[in-house]
Amino acid sequence: MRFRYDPEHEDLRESVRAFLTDVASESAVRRDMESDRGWSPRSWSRLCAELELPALAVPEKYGGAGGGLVELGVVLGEAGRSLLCAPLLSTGLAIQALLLTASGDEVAELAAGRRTGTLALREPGRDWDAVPRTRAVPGSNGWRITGTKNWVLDGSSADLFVVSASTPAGTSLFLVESGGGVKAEAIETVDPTRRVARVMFDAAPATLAGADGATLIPSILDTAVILLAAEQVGVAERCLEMATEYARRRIQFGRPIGSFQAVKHKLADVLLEVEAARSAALYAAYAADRGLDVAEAAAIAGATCSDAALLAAGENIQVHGGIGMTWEHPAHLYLKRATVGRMLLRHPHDHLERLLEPAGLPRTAAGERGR
Amino acid sequence: MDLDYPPQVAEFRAEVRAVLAEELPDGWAGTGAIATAEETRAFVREWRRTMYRRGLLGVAWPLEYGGRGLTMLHQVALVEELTRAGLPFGEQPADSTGVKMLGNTLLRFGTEEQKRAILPALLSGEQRWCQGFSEPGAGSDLASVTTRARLEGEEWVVDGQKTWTSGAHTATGIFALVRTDPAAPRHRGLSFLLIPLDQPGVDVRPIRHATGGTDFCEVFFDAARTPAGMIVGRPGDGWTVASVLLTFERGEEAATNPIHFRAELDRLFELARRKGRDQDPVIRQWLARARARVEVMRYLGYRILSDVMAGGELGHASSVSKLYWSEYHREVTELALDIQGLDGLALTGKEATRPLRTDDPGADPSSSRSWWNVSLNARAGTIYAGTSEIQRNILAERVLGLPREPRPGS
Ligand SMILES: Cc1cc2nc3c(=O)[nH]c(=O)nc-3n(C[C@H](O)[C@H](O)[C@H](O)COP(=O)(O)OP(=O)(O)OC[C@H]3O[C@@H](n4cnc5c(N)ncnc54)[C@H](O)[C@@H]3O)c2cc1C
Repeated sequence: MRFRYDPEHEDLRESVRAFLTDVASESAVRRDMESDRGWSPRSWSRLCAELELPALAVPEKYGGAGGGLVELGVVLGEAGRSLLCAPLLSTGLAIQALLLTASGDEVAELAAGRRTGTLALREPGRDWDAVPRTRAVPGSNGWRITGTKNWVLDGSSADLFVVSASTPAGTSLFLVESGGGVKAEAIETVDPTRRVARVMFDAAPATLAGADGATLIPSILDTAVILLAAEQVGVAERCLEMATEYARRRIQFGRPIGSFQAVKHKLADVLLEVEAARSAALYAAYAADRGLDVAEAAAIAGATCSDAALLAAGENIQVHGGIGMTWEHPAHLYLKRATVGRMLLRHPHDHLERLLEPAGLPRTAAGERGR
Repeated sequence: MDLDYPPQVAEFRAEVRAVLAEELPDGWAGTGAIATAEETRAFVREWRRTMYRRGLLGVAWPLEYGGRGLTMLHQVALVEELTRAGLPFGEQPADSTGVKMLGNTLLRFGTEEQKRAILPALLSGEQRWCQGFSEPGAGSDLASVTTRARLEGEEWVVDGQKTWTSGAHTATGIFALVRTDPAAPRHRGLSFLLIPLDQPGVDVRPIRHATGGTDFCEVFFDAARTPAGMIVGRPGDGWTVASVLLTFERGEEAATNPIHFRAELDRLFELARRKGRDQDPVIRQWLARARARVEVMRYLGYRILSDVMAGGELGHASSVSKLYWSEYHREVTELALDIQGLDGLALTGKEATRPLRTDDPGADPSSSRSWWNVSLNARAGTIYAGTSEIQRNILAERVLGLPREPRPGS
């Protein structure tokens, strides 16, 4: 019985954190978020070459370090703390998806940091797991894909897309290279530190990665939720730290504001939710690595970590007072990251609703109509 | 990272299951399913005797004091199995304050004589001890207790008053935090004394609880006496002993709380179905939120058990856990009232038979009386064992390192 990080995890965390104090310092984040691409290829190649981050949760046979979601979660937590701008989550998710479909060559390319990848699953106005309107048709030189995806993470810069599309046999997953037949349009969102795009595929050449999309996609989404949750824990932790540091230092009425119970109790309540989030994210990653109750654990982590990050980001601003509302202070960047992250994959209400059916409370047809 | 129990514990778990299969009647559906409250209490008493006979009380205690010399994790596996089967661990509150709190405290701080005189008698049920910390003027601010004790020859002589003492009316003794050195600074003048209740200098007066029952009492000391050897630790060590005692509850709770709360939530799901509220989207969100919170309690529980296993002090996961479950329980029991609506405020069905926290596993989900009892008790949960406000102070000051409250005049 040992539900905590091992010393190797702590070492990993420390080395990533040390690295990010430089690569994702506040000024680096501000520079990257205002750049065209939204992230720095120089920093990214250092993250790939020196820390080998994309290879972390990749089996050794594809040139990886053999870790799992627990390890990748440690790294994403650090990325969240610093608001790192990099195609780490997008490429990480593409890798995890391809591992499920056993597309070894591409995994090795992505893991080595030679290329970046992303998931292109969601379509305008539809849920992540809706049957795609995007179509794939077989031809003499392989498949061709036509359709539009949006909320594609780092879609404007990705080299490789994992795309869901309908075929006559059902939903399948395809690999599409950027280039001919692929056009990406950046979407302006609330969060400047994370780039997303709308991606149009117009008879784009594709290879079949996984035929059984109906099984693969829910599992890929669970992984995505778990990894995003790990990132959100980092966001929440950093916000709580910033608020606490400020509350210790800022003097009003002749005493540190952190000695006022109204402030203390607010931060204690944030701590409570941060601890809940930490536990939920770690359990979900562990459950995924061990093949336990993944879907349930992912939904719990998704709901808990999303809400914790938003709570912590909001209270951080409140504790900072006026300075917290300035562009100069980083508090707003965390709020924006938390706001988009909270709804990016599934709304917390949706995560929660998903817990009920397996727990014996399905929604009936009547309930469905009442929605 | 590893959530598995060691093989010895898994073997022990199988042994416990075998004992339960032998001892329980056919068609056993949990203590809550017994028809009446009187029969339930009789069963609980009888079941405690069975556990004692089968050597299942104090399994983590050394052999010489009536235990089986196993580990804390064995004890945890045992309470998990009992809880899953809808069985209590002993009688409450006596076994909680006695076996769990005092027993474990004596193992850590007690003299050989105290351990021999008290531990086996706690297990047999011959001795029942209650907890005398709170006083009319000292609740959250426990260090300001004023009950005094002075040594007169071979005896301590005690004067003062304790209050909110759970189970004092049926206990044989009280472990009390008393002031033995009025000149010393607040915390340092305190000692931990064991005082027999059946004597002329002690007057126990039951207090009627908001639920209508008499679960706690006032205890008056007027030149009450106890032998000089009945002090735990040295004079002046009372604060340390009391603080350690309060942590003993947490390890087992970490394992049992999520099981009880899960069973309760399953009853609430069933109630929502029976009342036709299970398709209401607002109610569904609250039910799902509760479901997520119970699982988070399970994860927090793993963290607390990991601390226990590592043999260190309980980390801050245990303070987090108290605030988390107690606030959760208020919320979820209010939800139960909302689901029932006005008709749920007309009391029907069996009363809740487990005095604190949830009702017993197997309880009828349609008993409005049970839900009402439990929701009242949930309000006590944010008061006893450190109020929610005190827990927030602890988290803010000890975990986040925020400055302490300035004291008046300082
Ligand atoms: C069901 C039940 C069983 C109990 N059993 C026992 C028992 O067996 N033995 C025993 O010794 N005691 C027992 N208690 C007593 C319990 O430990 C105390 O009630 C508790 O410590 C609070 O003390 P108090 O009642 O004096 O409230 P107070 O300390 O007077 O608190 C009143 C209110 O003020 C708030 N408050 C106090 N100090 C602060 C502060 N510094 N900052 C912010 N807010 C503050 C509290 O949070 C609370 O909301 C029991 C209580 C209950 C309800």
